[in-house]
Amino acid sequence: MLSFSEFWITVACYIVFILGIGAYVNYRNSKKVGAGGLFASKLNWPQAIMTYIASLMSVWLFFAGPGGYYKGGFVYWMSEMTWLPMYMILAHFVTNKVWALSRKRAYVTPTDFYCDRFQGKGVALLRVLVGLVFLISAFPYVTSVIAAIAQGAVRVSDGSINYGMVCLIIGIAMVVFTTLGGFKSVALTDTIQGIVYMIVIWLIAFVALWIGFKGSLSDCVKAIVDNEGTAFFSYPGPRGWVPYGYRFGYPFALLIGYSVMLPHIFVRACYSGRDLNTQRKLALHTPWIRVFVWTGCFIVGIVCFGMLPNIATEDAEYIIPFLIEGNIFPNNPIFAHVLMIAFFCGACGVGLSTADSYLLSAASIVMDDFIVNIFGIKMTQKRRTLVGRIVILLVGLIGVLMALDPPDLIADMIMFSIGMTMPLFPIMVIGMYWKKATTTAAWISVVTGMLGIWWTYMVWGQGGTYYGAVAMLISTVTMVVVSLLTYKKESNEKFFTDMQAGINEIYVIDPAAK
Amino acid sequence: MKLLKVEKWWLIVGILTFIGYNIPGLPAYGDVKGAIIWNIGFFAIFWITNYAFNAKICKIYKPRKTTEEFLAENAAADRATAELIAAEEAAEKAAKGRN
Repeated sequence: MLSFSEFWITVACYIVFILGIGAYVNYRNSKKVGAGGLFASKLNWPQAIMTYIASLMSVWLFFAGPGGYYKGGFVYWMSEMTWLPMYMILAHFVTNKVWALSRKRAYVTPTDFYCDRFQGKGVALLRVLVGLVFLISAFPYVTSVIAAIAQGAVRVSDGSINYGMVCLIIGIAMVVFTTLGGFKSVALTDTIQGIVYMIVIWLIAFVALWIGFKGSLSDCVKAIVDNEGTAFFSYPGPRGWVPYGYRFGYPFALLIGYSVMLPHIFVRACYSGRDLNTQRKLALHTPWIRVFVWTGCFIVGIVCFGMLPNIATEDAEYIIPFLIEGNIFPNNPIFAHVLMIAFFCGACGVGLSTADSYLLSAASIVMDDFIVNIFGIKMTQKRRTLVGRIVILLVGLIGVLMALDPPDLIADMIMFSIGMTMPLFPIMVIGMYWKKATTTAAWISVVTGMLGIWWTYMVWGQGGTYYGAVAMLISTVTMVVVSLLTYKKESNEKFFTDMQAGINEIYVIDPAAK
Repeated sequence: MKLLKVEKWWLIVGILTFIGYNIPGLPAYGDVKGAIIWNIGFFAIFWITNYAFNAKICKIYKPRKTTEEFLAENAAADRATAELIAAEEAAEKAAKGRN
């Protein structure tokens, strides 16, 4: 639908926009004392919320999300909406407490927290294992984003654009942007893009609903019931996608893996708030903002199901271009062009806001966990920044190369990344709340957790239903049993004293509360 | 870290709600009315309980510092980092000079 020139002008404008922000932030940081490093910075609450939300949006917003609601129906959407406020539990019991300690310890990577809690023999091994899990989880994510954008480009241009060329150009722009500006520029673009693309998804939803059903959602529902029956509104969904096991496994993976444990999310939820107010607003506001965003996606999904109920499963992730091309273009070609450009920019924007965040996390893991802590290479801050930029370049290029041979379903790759990080959650929580948790138990739990992931996906074949839930159970049991077997009075008192001191520094607890 | 009674209740209610929502067999496959009531009912329970507990916890755990005080601490940490970087650069220059 978009011509060759329309497409490349759109891409060029977008790249100029993000590189401009990168250059601006880089310039400002160079003028400011202690403006935050390449990999970390303290954010105010609007930026903290929006960078968190935009990092979550990724390719869900324009590809996997509407496609998922199309395939899963009403119950799939509700399975996501119900648990969202449980993030507040995680925030109070986990992330805010990690944040309280991070203010004293200046953590950079998620692994830093693990290796602060678990000391002594085996800590180096633990750092390698946890770092590797986080690092490996980065590649499918970055790859899926670049692949989704490039596949989207092929669709919007009716195949006139070369897939590999888009992968290379978008990938290189992403790497240069991240290298140039670092964490602050990523947070700033996330904030701007996050707001714009929330508007775009709702605009697409309203226009589609208007053109398809004269703006009436009840007419859309009636059309679905008349043409396809009621399966869209009951379990297991119109294509049998949401049986009871999936209703548990999918939201659970999103609650643990997607909302906290993905490394770029972990850094935002646990380390980046500039004050307690920011941390609290993050917990308070992100659930309803997520409802707002995903409901826009759901409207797109349901309207598309009402108008085009027979799209093949492998094409369902591209329902927005289908919708614009098949239904909006015949009514209003100019507006369809505008929407298609907005869709493609949106796909680039939300995709890259996740990929660059992930890239930054992955590079910081390579830099801090491996180069500095494992190999013990001492560097000045200036040199660390330089080497960090080179690492971003290398990690990004690997992601681009992997994207040249794309996966069948983007959602599957993303969910695999999410599942992989889940077994690390109980290790962190047990470590925080139980003094008898040992370093040996921690690294063994990482290993058994990853074996659990392998077993769930490769042997049991239920990875697409339970994701990391079983592996998380395995790592929890391992953590408790091995800790009990290996516990000796370890010198972890300082960690707990400091954590309590960190908490006391930020909170005044009502003396009447018991 | 000791948990307060209200925190324990929050955890219990949260976990039980999640388990309740995921009871296999409820609502039955193909039951449209059941699926709508089930999901809207649990949606309300999840949202009301968690926002209520969060509000209660925020009243009990009051911030010890104002935003300005946090910012002042962050600025001090930034200054310390900047000094560290400057010292490292100076040491590197001195080392180069010696070589």
